Amino acid sequence: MAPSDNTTTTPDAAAQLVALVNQARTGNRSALARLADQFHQEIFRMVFYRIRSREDAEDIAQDVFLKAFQKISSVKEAAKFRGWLFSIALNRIRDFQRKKRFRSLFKKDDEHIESHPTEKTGSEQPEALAQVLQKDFWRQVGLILEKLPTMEREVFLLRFFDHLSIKEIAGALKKNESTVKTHLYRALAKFKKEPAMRQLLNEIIR
Amino acid sequence: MKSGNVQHLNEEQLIQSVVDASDLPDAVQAHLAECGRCLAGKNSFELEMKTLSQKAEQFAPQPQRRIILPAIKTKKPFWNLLDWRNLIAAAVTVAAVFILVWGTHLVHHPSEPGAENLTADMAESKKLMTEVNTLVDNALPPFYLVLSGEKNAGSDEEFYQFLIPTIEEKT
Repeated sequence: MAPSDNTTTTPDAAAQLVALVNQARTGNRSALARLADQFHQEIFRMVFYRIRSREDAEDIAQDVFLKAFQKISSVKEAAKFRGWLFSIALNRIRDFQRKKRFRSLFKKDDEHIESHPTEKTGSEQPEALAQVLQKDFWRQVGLILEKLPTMEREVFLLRFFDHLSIKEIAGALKKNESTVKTHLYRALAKFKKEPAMRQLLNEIIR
Repeated sequence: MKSGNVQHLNEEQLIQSVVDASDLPDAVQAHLAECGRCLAGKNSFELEMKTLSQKAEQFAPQPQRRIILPAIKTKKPFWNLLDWRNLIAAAVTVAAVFILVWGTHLVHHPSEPGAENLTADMAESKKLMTEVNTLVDNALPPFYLVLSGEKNAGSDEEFYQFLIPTIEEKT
């Protein structure tokens, strides 16, 4: 299994993306719409992994695309569009978390805990058991991620949850590739060596 | 542990191979390509990460709203402003401003003063100036002048003589 198995794209797909980005840079609305369709789910999921609230993830994803399309003319290399989009998303998430921390100062404790829902209950939602499993999964993932320092956690998420290549991660975080590799190595070493992390990982993937 | 002449990958090298196998020394890379046990160790660790990622995808909800595209703002060149609708609007605005200013001017100056009005104004001014001059000479009304003795004060020589007698009379 190659390390970048999920991040490799066919030359055709890469060329198509470059063409699409170039069209979008000239203000082509159809190209913008196609880019939104192509990356919406990916960006939404990326945001959800970090804030674990569907409603907020939808709002932030919308915000990311608005920002991206307003600034699309500033994309120097169309091939780096994906990494650039992720860097915008990371900034939006940081803003959101900063505001959330500030708001939590003025809220009661129970309201703060409530702000970690996975899904709302409703007739269209999965069954109760699936919801419990889902909630439990994200609780455990939260426990694992809490054990990692911020930078290691971010690099780990970008690499294994969002399937970005080392190069794309370096671009999104504005770090050099060797720094990214060092953080990723440290995060993986904790998964491999620390018994508590291994136990949690085994519980999650069993 | 060795396979042939090369050692098996240790835990650090195994982790490094998951991060980026191309960073490993050439001999270790060659060993990894050949050794089933080391490759299995690497693949097993990668599989754990992949399973974690797949579960995350499975338990992540789907977005329910579509992305709304921003409204495109195109910059119009200057000559685009000179179409007939804009010109008519500009003309109407100028006319409205002109009428407004002119109308206001008429309200403030309904007619030019004629010669009759001028004579009346002059007579009124003259009368006013007479009153002012009277007040400058003596500000007290006539009634108070009688009380204060100011009326006919100039002709009452006897009264002054009484107040300040001349030196000859004293001697």
